Amino acid sequence: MQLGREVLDQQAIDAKGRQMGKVDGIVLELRGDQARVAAVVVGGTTLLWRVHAGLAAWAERRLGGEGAPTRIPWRQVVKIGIDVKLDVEAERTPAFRWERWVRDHVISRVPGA
Amino acid sequence: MRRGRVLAHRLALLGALAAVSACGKSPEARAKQAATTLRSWQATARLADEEHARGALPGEFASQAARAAEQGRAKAEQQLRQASSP
Amino acid sequence: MSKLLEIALGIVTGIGGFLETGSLATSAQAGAGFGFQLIWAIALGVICIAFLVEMAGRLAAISHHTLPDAMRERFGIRFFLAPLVAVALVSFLVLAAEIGGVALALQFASGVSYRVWALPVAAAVWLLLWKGTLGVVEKGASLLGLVTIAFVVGAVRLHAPLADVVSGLLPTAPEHDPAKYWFTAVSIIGASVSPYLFYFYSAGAVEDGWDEGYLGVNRATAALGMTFGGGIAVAVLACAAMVLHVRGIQVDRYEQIPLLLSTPLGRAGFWLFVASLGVACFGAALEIALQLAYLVAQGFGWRWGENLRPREAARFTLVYTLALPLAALVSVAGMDPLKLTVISMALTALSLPVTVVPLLILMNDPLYLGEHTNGWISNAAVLAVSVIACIVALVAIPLQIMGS
Repeated sequence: MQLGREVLDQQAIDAKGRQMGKVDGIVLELRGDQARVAAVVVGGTTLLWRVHAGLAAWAERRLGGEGAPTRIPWRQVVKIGIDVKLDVEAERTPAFRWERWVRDHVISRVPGA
Repeated sequence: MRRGRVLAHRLALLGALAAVSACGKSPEARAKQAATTLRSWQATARLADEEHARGALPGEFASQAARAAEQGRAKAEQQLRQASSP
Repeated sequence: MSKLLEIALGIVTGIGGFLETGSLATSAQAGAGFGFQLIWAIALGVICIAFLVEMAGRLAAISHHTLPDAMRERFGIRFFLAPLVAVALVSFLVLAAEIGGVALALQFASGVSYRVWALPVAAAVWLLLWKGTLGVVEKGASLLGLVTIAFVVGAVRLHAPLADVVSGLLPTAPEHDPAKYWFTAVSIIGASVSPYLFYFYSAGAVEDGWDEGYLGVNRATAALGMTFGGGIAVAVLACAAMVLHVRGIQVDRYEQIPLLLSTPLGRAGFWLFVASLGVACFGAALEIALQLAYLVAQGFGWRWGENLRPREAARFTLVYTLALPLAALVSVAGMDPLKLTVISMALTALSLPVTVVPLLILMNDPLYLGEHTNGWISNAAVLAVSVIACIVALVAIPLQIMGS
């Protein structure tokens, strides 16, 4: 499988079929002289590291734990097709941190929401 | 990456050249342009008046159009004066 | 639904949705300034946008990806940022111009300044998006948009000479004001080839679950819808040529444009103009605000969809909730609606290579399109128009700014 082409930057879908972000990074694990995929990474400052390292380091200092990405172990990657299906519930992962924050602090405050 | 930057520089240079060449517009050309604009606004005011008179424009809008024409005319006259007396 | 009905609906959407502040203002300026000479620019823009809309639909039908999805995936985040930022900026400016257009229609009708109307207009657009009745509203807007056919009636009443219209299809060099001529030409192309059109189209096609069976419908809709829509823009230009050009009137303010319809059609013409401006810009504002939210949400993988409740797609909702009032502020600040429109259109033309070339690369990738990749004609046509428009805009924009 071509990780860069078929996994990285693909749409991540959670167990309930919700869009939960993109696969922003891939974690490789070295065992002896063999590398294997350990996890995929969604959200946090991961994406920023790929754009500009200085900016990402700054954001990481500013955000602290808030900017921590969500690692989803490779065994929970269910299916790779048009999207990458993950066996997790987005609502309970840190990947949904900002979605939750915007929902609870902004959208819910609008009358009639 | 570097090639893109070179291209960007060239394009910026082209833009700057165009800008410089525009600055050198002669007073005659400026006066001519202002005169055209002035005539355009006079014609606009006439047309809007006629339209209003024959009932094609509501009074409220006719006065908006007349105000726009008046402002445009005043600005063009000023430009014409500036162009003819450097 | 039968395929023929879908094509008919597509044509109605094309006619009712084509005209907005950009094509209205630039066509009026072209006709007033240069008679029938610039019709070729409308034709060029229509050909280009028809190709692009067809491509966006084909990409959605074959790969089931929206445009931002596919770009992010194919090019990675770094390269994707360029079209993302370019499309977002241009769309924001055009959104500001459309809100200004609706506000101006209200000013013409009521006498109360557009600066007062801008925020209420943005609030109305927001409310419709928030309530999620978009499907109904969108179809309603394109149906109501059929009022713009009034320009065709106007052009016929004015006895616009068909021979001049046809000869305008051939590009010719200007006899006077070359800087203004080329600037108007690129703003017309920018008005026709608005990226929001094909980005929006791809999101709609994915949401409606298009597959290979839709390729025929897609092609017919894109070609016929855009051609008929472009016909309305030609009619605007013809009205401007017959009413304004012959009297030596050039369009420097929006207040001059209602005369295009009041002259041939009387008081009814004036109100048809106000309705056309208001409805067309309102429909466009709805689509652009939504498309901005689609673009960002799809680019970053957030939940999106016109049928989700705001709570279910919080960040998606946040994008249009922020964009609308910000775009309205441009008008509140007193930016002249005509200038804002024309500048947005010229900048759209300038940004075309950045917004269009990534799509072309995707459309030639068998991994996404299988056997349905682009033919050389569509590649060449779109590439040529966007590169030429960009270069001409690069020279014409500074000239225009210096000249005025």
